[in-house]
Formats: sequence, structure tokens, C-alpha cells
Amino acid sequence: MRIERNILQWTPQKEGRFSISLRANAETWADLPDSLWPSQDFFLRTFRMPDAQIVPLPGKVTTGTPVTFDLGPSKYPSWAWSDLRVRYDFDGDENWDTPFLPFSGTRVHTHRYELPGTMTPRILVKYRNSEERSVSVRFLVNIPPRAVLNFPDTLEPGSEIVWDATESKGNGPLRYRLDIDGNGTWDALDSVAGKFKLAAPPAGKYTAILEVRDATGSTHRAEKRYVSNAAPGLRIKSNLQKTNLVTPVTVQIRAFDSEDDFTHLRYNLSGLENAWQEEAIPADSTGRKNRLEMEWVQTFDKPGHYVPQACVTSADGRIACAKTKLEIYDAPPVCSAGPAIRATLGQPVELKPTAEDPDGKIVKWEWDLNGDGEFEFISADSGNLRYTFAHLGEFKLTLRVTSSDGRTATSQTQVEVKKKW
Amino acid sequence: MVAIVVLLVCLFTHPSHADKMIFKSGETVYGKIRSERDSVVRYLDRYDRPRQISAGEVDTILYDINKLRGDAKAAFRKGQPTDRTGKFRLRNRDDFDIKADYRTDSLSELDVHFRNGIHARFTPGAHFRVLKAPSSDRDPVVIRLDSGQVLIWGRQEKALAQIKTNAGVGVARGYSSLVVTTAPKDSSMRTVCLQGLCGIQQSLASPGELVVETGRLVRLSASRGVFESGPAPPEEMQGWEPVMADMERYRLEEIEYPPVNYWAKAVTGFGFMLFFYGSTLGVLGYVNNI
Repeated sequence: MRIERNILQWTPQKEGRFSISLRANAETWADLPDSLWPSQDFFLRTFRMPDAQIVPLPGKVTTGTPVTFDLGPSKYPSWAWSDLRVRYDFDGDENWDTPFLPFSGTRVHTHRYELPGTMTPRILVKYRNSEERSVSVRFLVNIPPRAVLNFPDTLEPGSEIVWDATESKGNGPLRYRLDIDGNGTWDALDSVAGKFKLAAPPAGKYTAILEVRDATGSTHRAEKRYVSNAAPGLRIKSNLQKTNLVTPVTVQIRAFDSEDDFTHLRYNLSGLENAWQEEAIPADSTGRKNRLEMEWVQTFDKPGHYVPQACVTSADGRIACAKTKLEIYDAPPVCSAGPAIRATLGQPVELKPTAEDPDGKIVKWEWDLNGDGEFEFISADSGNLRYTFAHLGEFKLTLRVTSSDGRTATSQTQVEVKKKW
Repeated sequence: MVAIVVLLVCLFTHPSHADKMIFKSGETVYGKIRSERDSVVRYLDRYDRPRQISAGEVDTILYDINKLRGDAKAAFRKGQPTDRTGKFRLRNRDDFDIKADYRTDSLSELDVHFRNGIHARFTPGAHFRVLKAPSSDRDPVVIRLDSGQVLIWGRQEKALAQIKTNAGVGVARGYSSLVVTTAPKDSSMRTVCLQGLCGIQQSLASPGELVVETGRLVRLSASRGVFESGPAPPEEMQGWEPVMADMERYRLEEIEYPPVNYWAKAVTGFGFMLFFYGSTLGVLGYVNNI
């Protein structure tokens, strides 16, 4: 033991409990008996600082999996535990993720890694202000492979289906195996693409199985139930694609489902949002409802573009919809004042004009009988009239008709008046 | 000698003309009608003797167009029409002055017969003027009707009457019956065709007229200038039936005395004259021989 300037430095050589007695002496006190020297006794425990130890960790873990750092193997004396502190750097980025924590409460610490990568966590153990001991480990955090299989829930038997596994995730390139009918036999193997084009199995209920294997060898399976069933077929058509307001349009639908009956029929002859109607499904002679042939006759009161449409729902829940296009226009009236007239002075001639409004009716007939541009003859019934010419010469008679929608048409006829023909 | 003179007079004198009345009894009387009012027809017979007969016994009165002085024959069924001043009174035997405005009062009805076969009956309260009176049966009658109502009756194929109002012109052609009513307040007119070829036009300059069908009513107002056609009210049509029947009783046409067999009478008279003359000579000769 060496004492310099009242500082005593002692390196214990072994663990144990030591009783240390310190006595002060001076040259001037050399003659004093030992019992008179000032002294102080104290005790000291010494122990060897072992390295911090943790329970070995697996070489790789998956994201989301809790990793337990257990400092149990560290051989600190139990009496020292209360003065031990520990802190963690879980990802080894030199930034401590925790402050110093009491060792007794955090000897076992669990951490969940959300990001993949190689982790070198560091754990620092410290006894009071003495030396620090750290332990570092290294392991890999992996993403677990996740198989995702996408395809329609209901398939048309025999149709070519794209079985899409590209949404599957995992570390590195994935390898896929697909069993489309769940019979235990892999129907397809694929290395990278993740898409299979395979024909749908015959009608029935199946479970497709997709197995994904990532670069680390981890695998994951996804299963998906589906129905292979013929889709209902539906066609809709109208006898006219473009017509006027009064001409009735026949809209016809034909629907067929080879396997299931229809449960619902909805149709919308105008295509407007609130114009959907339900129709009962009639049964055929055999009592089945898997064949539909219906038609509706409709007139439209406003011009525009219409989209008659219908949807049928099969018993298997599959819905087929179809639509067609229809243009309704407002046709102008057409009129004819008639051929040229040869009139005899003083004898009445009959004017029998013709007019029609393809999508309405003529509501007003007018004649300009004296050529002044004003229509002095007005009738709601017809333009027929008799007129007696009182002057010789040539005259023009103008007919104007107005349809119920306010559109007009005019026509002229020439009249030649003579005393005799 | 006297007999020879009488015979020659009988042979070469132009037949006489006069008004003619046909009684319901079937008797035909010729003469000159003086008045037809008050249910009594007063007339001068062919010997200019004043006579009268109840109007109810007369079936038809035919005015002699050859005796007509002027272009129109006026005869009134009720009261007497006055001119616009209210002072002039037209009498049955007066000539009709086509240059004057006439106004029938609240009672009078005036019949005016024209040479073209148009017979116009102005109802009470009518105010009118004859703008053009026909001098022959091919000329039209043009009447300006300022207010009131007129019934036009065409009696021949070429008859033409144009009734001009503030709103338009009503036209009757040939054998037809037309009622024209005008209301000066709103410058409108209405025409009802009772029979035949009737028409309505906006002005006389129009190329022609819109035919008003029988039983139809057509209105025309100056402000709108539009023909408004519709069925005539049935009660109105029925109301005109007795008027038309009454008008049928009066005609203006050429009246000719029927052959009065002057030849036979003259020869018979002459025979008698010769007989009596011979008998007288014989008797005188016998007496002389006694």
C-alpha cells in the first residue's frame, strides 16, 4: 500500500471483505505510544468486475418479433445489483436508446424490431462510478415472407385466369408455388414473375394455395377460397338507337346462366340515377329461372342521350350488367301548304295543308292569306280552309305550323287567279 | 171604227208592270204597294183603286224592278229609319238616297233591295251607308256598316255584297245569307253564315276572303287582325230562321203582267159588237120594213 500526500492507493488482489485501519503518524510523534496515534478503521469489499453477459440471441429474427436481452449470465454479486445501472443501444448506431436504468429491473429487456437489417445492439453495465462493461451482439432482422394471392372470387370454368401473387412480400427474390384446386399437387412453379395464367377448374368450390419462399428460406402460405361457376350472361338491346320523342322504343334483354337461377333483375330504361326498377323473375316451363327474355316498351318525354341498362343476379351472387345507348331527339314539325293552285275569280278554293310533328302534335295552324307577313288565320284543329279570291293575279299563301314543343315550320303555295281556266 | 181602234190598242200596247202580291189563298194581285207597316199592306190595285189587306194573308210581295226609281228599293218592316241627324225619315215610297247615312232606331227594321239581287235587312240600331249600289245584276253592293247588324240575302248567282266595317269586310256571294255585326267600341266584327258562300276579309284590297262555312261564326278585330272561327251559337242560328223565312216573302224582280188574253177579249168584243151592230141594223131594217 502506498500513501502519497495523504492519498492511499491500494489494489486489492483478491475478492473479499477487508478491514482497513488507518493511523496517522508524525515524526514529532515518534515517541508517542501507538495507542495514542490517531487512527480510523473502515471496511472494504472487493470483487472482480466480470464482463457483462447476455443470453445468446438467435442469428436472425423477423420483424415484429420481440428480442429478449437477458443479462442473467452476468456474474455480479447480488449485493452489487442495487448499484448497477444498464443502458441499451438496440440497433448499434452509437446512440443510446435508453438512459441508465436500474439493473435489477431491466436485467431482462425486450425489444421489438420493426425494420429489417443487421443489428449490433450494445449494452452497457456500470457499477456506481466504476468501470463500465459492455456487451455487444450481432444478428439479422428479417421480414417474414407473406404470401398474397389475388384473383376473382368467382371464376368462369375453363376461362384463363391470372393468379396474381405479386403482392407477396419477403426478403429477396421470392419463389412461388401454386395449387389452384387445393388437391395437394402444385399446379405451377414460378421463380420471379408471381403471375400465373391458368385455366379455371371445372365448376365447384375450391381453395387455392400459394406458397412463397424468400431468399432466407422462409416460407409462407396463403389460401383463398373461390367458386368456379359459370357467370350469368346478359345482353340488352333496343330496336332503335336514335329516334324521336313519340316513337316507342322496345328495350329487350336476354339473360342466361347455365348453372344458377337468377334471383334478381334490375333494369333502368333511362339510365338516370333514380330510375332503377326491380322485376320479378319468371320461371320457365321447367320451373327454372336461369333464362330470361323480357322487353319493355318505353317512350321518352325529353330529348337526350339515354343508357338503358339491366343487371341480373344469379343464385351464386354473381351479377351481370349490360347497357346500351339510345338517343332521343326532338324532331321539328314538317308541313306542306300544298301544290300550286289555279283559282277562278269568285269561286272558293280549298286549302288542305299537311303537317306532322314526328314526336308531338301540331297545335297551331296559321295562314298568311294576304302576304303581309302577318298570320291572320289561326286554328288549333287544322289548316284546312276555303278561300275565295276576289282579285285577278298571282298570290302567295304562307302556312306556318307550331308543334306542341313550340317548334315551327312554314311552307308556301302559289295561287294564280283567272276569270276562267 | 171604234172597235178597230180598241183592237189595235189592245194589240200593240206594251204590257203593264207593277208590284205583285201572292196571297196565301193563292190569289195573285198586281198593283203598287204603298205601305207594309202595322200588319197591313196598303196598295193601289191595277185600276189605281186604294186597297188594303192584312199582312198575314200575304204570302209573297214582289216589287217590280222596272218601276224602281234609283238603284235600290227601300222598304221597312218596322218603324222608319232616320239619317244621322235624326230628321230625315225614309218612307216606303221614297227613293233610297245612297249618298246618305241611315240609322235605324231601336224599333225599325229596314229592307233594302238592290238590282243585283241582294236583299239587306238592317236590324234596329244599325248605322250604315251604301257606298256603292249596283246598276246591274253583275255589280257588287258595297255597304259601310258603322254599327249594328245586317242580314244579307243573295237571290241570284252573280249577287255580291261587301259589308265594310271598321274591322274588316263581310262578303256574301250568290245564293247566300250572311249576318254581319260590328261593334264600333272595340273595332271588331263578326260574321255568321246562314247559307251559301260567305266570306270575311281584312280589307277590300285583300286578295280574297276567307270562306265562312255555314253555321260558323268568324270574328275579326282590327287590333288583332286574326280570324277567330268557331261554331255559331245554335240559339243564334235558330233565331235567324224566322227572319230568313220572313225575308223570303219580299223580292225585287221583274214583274210582268200575265197574258190577260187581250186577243180573245178583243175578238169576242169585236164579235159582239158586230153581232149587236148587225142585230141592231136588222132590227132597224125590220122596223123600217114594217
